[in-house]
Amino acid sequence: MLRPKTILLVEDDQVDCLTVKRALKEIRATNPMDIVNNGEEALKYLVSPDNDRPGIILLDLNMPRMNGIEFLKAIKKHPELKMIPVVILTTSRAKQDIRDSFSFGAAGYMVKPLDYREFVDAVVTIARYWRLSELPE
Amino acid sequence: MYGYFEPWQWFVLASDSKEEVFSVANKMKPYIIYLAILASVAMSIALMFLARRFTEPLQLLTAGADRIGKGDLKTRISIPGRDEFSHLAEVFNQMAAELQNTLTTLQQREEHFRSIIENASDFISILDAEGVYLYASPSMGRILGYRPGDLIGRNSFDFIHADDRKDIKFLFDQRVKSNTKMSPAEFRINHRDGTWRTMEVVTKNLLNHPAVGGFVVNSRDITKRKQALEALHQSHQELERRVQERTAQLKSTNRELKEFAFVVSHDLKAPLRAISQLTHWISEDYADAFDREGKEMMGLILNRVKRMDGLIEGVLSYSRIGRIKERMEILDLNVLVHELIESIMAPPHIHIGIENVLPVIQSDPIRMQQVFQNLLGNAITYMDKREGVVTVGCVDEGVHWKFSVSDNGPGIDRSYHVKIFQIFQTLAPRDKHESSGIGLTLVKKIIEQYGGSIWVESEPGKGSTFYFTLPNNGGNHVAA
Repeated sequence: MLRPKTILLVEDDQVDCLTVKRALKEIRATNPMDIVNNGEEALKYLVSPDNDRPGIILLDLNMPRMNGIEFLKAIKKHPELKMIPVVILTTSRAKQDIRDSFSFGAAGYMVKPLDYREFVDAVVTIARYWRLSELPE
Repeated sequence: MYGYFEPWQWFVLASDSKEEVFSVANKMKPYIIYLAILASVAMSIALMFLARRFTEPLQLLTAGADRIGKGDLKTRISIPGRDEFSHLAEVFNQMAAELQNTLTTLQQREEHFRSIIENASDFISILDAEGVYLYASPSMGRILGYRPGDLIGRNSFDFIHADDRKDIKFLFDQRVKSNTKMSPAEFRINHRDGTWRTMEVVTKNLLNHPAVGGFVVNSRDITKRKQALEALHQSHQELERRVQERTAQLKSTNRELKEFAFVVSHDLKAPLRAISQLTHWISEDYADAFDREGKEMMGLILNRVKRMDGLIEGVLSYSRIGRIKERMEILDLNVLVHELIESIMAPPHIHIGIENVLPVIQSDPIRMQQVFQNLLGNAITYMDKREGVVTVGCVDEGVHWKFSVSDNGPGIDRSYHVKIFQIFQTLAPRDKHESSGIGLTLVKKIIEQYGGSIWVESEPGKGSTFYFTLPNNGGNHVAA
């Protein structure tokens, strides 16, 4: 079995980062996780030869400097990077955000629940799906 | 003395003396002369009288006829007597009187029409086939500053604005030629002071009319009307412009406000979630460090966070009404309300019923759901009776439907009837009934957005009835 792929979390809220980390630990996901704080940093991370290509990107929408939608637009123009599945993990329930996310190629859209237990459920659902889904090499 | 008597070729001799022969004659001679003189004098006197008798009335008649002929119809010839002359004079007099009458009548009639024309506010002119003024009524002076005399002989088209001249000339020529019917024409005409006046004219071709022999133009000064119209038009446009401006301002303010509400609520949620999760972890990870009271406090924090989240969610959904395009569908409210009642799952001691057949309306199903859900939800939440009865009803009031949701709950004091529709207003303590205080505000906003109104009729201890109206836009009808 191959080494589990890296999860890239693009998130500026420290507590939300902790939540994801904690939830992953709770479901015993062995994937390494890297965290960047906004879209710009995420792009830098992805093009850097030092980093492995992540298997999935968990993307917040509301971030400083380069927000999630802008990042999504940028990455989907890239011939290689566009194949990485991007799941939106956000507070926004706005219809416009949901439309934009999917029209720019998001693979999923999750609203961060207020309650931690529900948050864990959300992370579990994401993890289960991507464990089963086939991914491009 | 002798004499030759021809027939007989005799000479006749008379021998008596002259005196003897002529004595008698001579004696009579003075008498005869006297008589002759007398006769001739008498004759001349008689003749004089006679001549007088004939010539005087003739002269009178001649003079009278002369005066009448010259137009003095007041003349009356007075010849006394009962002869032919006096009769003739009488006839003359009658004729003159009749003529005078006729003429007076005619003059009065002319006066009548003239005064009508001259005192008309419209300006009446008569033109020849070329457009030259033959007559212009005095109103001309008032309207265009000219005396009628100034215009006679001048071409009316010289006074018309160059931009209008061609069109008007065309219409005029057409009318002169064919006498077709013409709707009122409008053009600008030059006032003596150089300004332009707008005239509206109706015309009649009477060029071939023996009494008129001209093209009659009735012109009306519509400058003021035109200006008023123009002013009205301008103020209307100005108003429109301002309305548009204000609407744009309002729209942008509204949009900003909604965006503000959205962003604020959105940004408020992030830290709230952090608090919620951190609290959760602390109470999980350090469960041993808390005693019962500490755990209760942690629970209260989580509860308050949830409430805060509810409030924010309320503001969000409130700000979403009208911001997101509403979906209009044909809705059978019987179905919608029935499904809602089932999904609410009211406690067994509360009975929810539909009083009568609800209409089929055109509306957004989600919004209508929110309306009934909130009203029914409130009725259930605050129910204080052992046997709760909640009833949904509807009355067709012509222009709108009047819906009602009534309950036999605690009732609401009159002083709160308005306040309950204001945002974040709750009547019961939140710890007793967890409420965001946004439900009725939301309902009110939805109803008003659909052109209806909402109010409550209630008294403490007698239950409450919430009424709201929705316009009945013809297409709606009561479901069979």
